[in-house]
Amino acid sequence: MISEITIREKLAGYPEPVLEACLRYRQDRRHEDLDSLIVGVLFFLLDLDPGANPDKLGDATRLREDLQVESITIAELLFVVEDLFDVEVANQDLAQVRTLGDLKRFLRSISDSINSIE
Amino acid sequence: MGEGVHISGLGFISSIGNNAKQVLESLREHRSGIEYHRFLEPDLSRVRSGGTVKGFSFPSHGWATWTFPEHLEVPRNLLRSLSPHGLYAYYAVEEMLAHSGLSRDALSDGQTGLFCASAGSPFLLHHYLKQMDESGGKRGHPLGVVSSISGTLNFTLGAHYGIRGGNLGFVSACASSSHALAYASEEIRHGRHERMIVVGAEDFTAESILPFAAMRALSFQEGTKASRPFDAARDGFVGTGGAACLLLESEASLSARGGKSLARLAGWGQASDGFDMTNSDPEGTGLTTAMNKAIKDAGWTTSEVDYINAHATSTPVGDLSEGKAIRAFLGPAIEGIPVSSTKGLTGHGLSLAGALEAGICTLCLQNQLIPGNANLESVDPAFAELLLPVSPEPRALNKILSNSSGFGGSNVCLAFEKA
Repeated sequence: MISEITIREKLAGYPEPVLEACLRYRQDRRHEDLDSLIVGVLFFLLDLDPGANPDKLGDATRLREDLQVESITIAELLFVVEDLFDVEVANQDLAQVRTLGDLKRFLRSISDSINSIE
Repeated sequence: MGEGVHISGLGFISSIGNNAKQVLESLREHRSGIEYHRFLEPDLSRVRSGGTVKGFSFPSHGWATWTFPEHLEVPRNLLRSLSPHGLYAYYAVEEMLAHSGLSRDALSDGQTGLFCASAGSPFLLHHYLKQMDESGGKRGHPLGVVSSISGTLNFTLGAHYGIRGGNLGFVSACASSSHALAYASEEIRHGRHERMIVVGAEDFTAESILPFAAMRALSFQEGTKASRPFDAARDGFVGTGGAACLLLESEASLSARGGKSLARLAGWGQASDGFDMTNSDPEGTGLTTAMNKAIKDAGWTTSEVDYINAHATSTPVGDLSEGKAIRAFLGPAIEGIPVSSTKGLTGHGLSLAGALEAGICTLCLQNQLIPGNANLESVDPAFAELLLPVSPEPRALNKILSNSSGFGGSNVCLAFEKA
């Protein structure tokens, strides 16, 4: 399991709530914390404050149309996830990810596979 | 010779100032941007000085940890793709845009091109390649390539500003951004573009600077006096980083939008030494030829030149060959034409140098000021014939030359004229 020190190094400069969500997820593996981590990282990459944009936090929020998320942003988000959890995400797996809800479900499925291996 | 090419905007992030006003003040006050500096922790090298860039910090490779001046907001999606010198370049371009009054719409009208010069970011490249090695190729940042390779400025700034004219980079080492300016002027002279944005920039990190110590090219002297072009005690250059941005513009474009000409890029010349990979021709023949070609292109005579901004980096060999080149070029006019290298104040910015010094020359023409040769306490007898002012001085300036020389003996001379 990735150490707390390494998490702090990899998330240096990220908002505190993102770091806290990651540390909580590392400890308890709850899906809600993973969701908070993913949304936190995504919004930080987009320079959006989740607290100031509650209308954009719903599962139906469309990544491209509502958040102007580009493919490179998704790639960066996935790099953070891959780097934190030492997993690999194949490109073809992303094809059906269109909303925040899709993204959360997708990353939950990856984390579930990590949990089952450990 | 063709239509006039105007310099109509400037932007700086440099060791001697983070905008044109600060750079000018530093030149007027002969204020150095060089200080005691160690590049690594621990630093076991013998390098003790650097032309530090103030107001920015890069404590890690992650952009989220970087700090930069708050007067400008850096769009997050751009910041994520930038290297340290890309960030410097963004500040310099934004200052140029504010300074020139050029509308942002003009950037995407297909008549504005972008020519850039940098060595890329060894700081980021090193990190990403290490990540690749350590993960057996499994792990890699999606922006690793575009943020770190030479060309990064073109990729990132070209996309951000919506440039639809030409977009390319120059890699002639320390002559790079002078080449960029020269070819940018050709684009305007030949009517292919109305405006050219030229950016020269470099990181100020161990990865960009310290490898030059292995070539025995860096000064081991400590602090402000380490960079001392033409001085008998010079022992190598002092590295610096930052960015300089110049807007070159056609007469038609400038008139149409009511812009102001700061100076003209009247001509240029280039020639190579064909001598050695790293050292210049001891006789400076290539640079002499470049200077003669520059004044021919500008339609000047030697005696009309009012000042020469030398490349002189404070290396024993390089300064010597430039001294000979200038002597051969000036001939009988040598006694009356002052020569100075501003690298005594700024340090040597590598790919940045040409653009930084072009910007300095523009300020000199605007303000009728010659920068002094900093730290010139004992002139090397080899330069006895040159007129080397040690302090800044007011002077009537109409026509000045700026030299740049790079690895492989690549020499460029730019000719600037008062607006």
